[in-house]
Amino acid sequence: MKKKEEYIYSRRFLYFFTGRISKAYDEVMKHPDLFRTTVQAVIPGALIFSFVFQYTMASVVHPFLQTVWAADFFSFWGIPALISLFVLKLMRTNFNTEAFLEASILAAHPLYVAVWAYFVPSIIYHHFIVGDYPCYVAYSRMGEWVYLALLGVAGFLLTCITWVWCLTKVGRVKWYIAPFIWLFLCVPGLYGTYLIFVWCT
Amino acid sequence: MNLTRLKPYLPSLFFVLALCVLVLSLWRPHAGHHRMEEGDFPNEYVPAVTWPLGYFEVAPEIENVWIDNVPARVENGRVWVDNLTIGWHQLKVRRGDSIEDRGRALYVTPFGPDNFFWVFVTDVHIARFGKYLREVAENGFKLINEIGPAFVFCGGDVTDYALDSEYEGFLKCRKSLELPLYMIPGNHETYIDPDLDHWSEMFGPTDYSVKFGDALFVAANVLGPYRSWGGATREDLEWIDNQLSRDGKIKFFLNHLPVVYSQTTIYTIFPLINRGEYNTCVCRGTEELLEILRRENAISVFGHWHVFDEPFVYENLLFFHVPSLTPNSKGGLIRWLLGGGMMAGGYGFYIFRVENWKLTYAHPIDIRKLEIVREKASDSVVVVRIRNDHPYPVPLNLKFDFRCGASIDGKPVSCVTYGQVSWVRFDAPSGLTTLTVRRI
Repeated sequence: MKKKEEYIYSRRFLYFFTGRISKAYDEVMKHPDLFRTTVQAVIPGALIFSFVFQYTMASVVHPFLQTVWAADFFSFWGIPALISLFVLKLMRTNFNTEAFLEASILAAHPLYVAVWAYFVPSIIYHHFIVGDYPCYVAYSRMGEWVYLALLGVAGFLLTCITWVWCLTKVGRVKWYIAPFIWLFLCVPGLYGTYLIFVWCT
Repeated sequence: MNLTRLKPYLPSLFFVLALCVLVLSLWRPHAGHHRMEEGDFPNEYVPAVTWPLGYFEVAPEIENVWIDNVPARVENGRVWVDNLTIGWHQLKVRRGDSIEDRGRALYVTPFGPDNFFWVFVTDVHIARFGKYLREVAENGFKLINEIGPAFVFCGGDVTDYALDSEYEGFLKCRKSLELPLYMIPGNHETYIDPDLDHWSEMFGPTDYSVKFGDALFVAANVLGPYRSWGGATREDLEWIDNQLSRDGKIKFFLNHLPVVYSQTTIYTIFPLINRGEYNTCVCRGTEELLEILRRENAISVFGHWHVFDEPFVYENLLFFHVPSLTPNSKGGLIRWLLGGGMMAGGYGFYIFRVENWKLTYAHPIDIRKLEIVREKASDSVVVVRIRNDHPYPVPLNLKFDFRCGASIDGKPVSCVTYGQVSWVRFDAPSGLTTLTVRRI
């Protein structure tokens, strides 16, 4: 008799970050745990990002701005996720809402990781090793925007792929429809992220 | 309904709710104001500027004025300046029963009120780190001092985040400027100081008006806090209305945020900014403000966007968008995203000349395109080499600490002498000019 496989929550991340995207989504579909993933990944990410943003500006800015940056970080995932969910509901596809939202958190991770991939080394290098200026100055004035832009574009393109994959696999949308949902409905929704930034700041 | 089904979504819901509560509770539509009372003028932050044998106006409640401890003649609210040297003077005033020491609150300029020029410099953006921007700012202020306007307005954003270290950097950079510098707060000053209390401790009032002869300058703060868009409340509009209603043959409205401007940056698709025929960063009370400017025919001067330097005419009103003094950004990300170098800018300020109460000169000056080098040729001769790479002449008022006569290619140049100090005044044409100054 085949032994029942032991459930380990962190496997979804292990599979996702080692390139086994499909397996990661399988794991999410088998054992969806949106509560834990939101608490462990998205919310701390948003809070830490707001502090990092403040820290890289070398200032103690008003808590209002910190809140806005946290909201902006959160909305990178939240707005496309809500739009996708709404579209899937309209399409009446047979999918698990919790699993889909959790899988979309994983799908957004390439973009998040890309942003961190600039900030973390830049902070370590500029603040702790060289001590010349905040990394805000480094990317906005000293030309390091190139790294941030390249990583951001790469992360965004990867997110496009993983999100379409998520729509197809977890959302059970036809593979030839999913890119259109992502491109024409979810990506324009990121204008909301821009609006949060512009409106509030 | 089974509430346990909601459990997976609760963290996100609470997080969004918490963000909304925080944003709504912390958001404030307007930055703080520290408006100057009429009776508080002049003071060391907002000094009076006058000319030899000229006057400056004070509030009726000021009964006596002492200039350098010598009683001055006060008639109908005008304080007359007799036999004062060009430069700074100490003021004391009697208001009611008290005598107030106003410090270094009077500057006597060698210009007359019917023909003078002044400078608007903005967006200095002194950062906490880095030497280059500070050098640019320092060179900018040195050049302005050399050009020798009657006075200078600084249009805000002197720091990035209003940190003490940034303010200290700014104060060091402006040290070379011997002229009156009127300060106006910018949106970057509100990052950690939304009430502008700290700003006010350092630079005095955020809203005030000054006159030089019959030229009226109203400096206002229509900022929204935390780097936000601006807007004018009813109270702001009333204050601006009152100040711009003062007598004046030419009126300037000065502030940090663009009231009306032609081009915009990444915000062009944002309806709050883009109003069709024009763009604005004063998003609330725009029409009412424009109505006041229209009624008073006031000329608006502002900064904020760093790069735009073309005057803009809207409904017969003039709007000057002054470029930043330091290159705050290389335009990198923005240029890459939008295919333009909109945010690059820098190295600039504006010179305005007023002749017989008319604006006769208004041009941006790029500090890389203007060089003034003094060389001592002998004990009695100084040669000044001026390189002006602008396509237009630049007005100069060069100060020499001796009585002198000056010429360019043998042709005499206007020289104004007060006491033992002279000012050589002329428009430096495009190209290279050699000015010969001889001690008399």
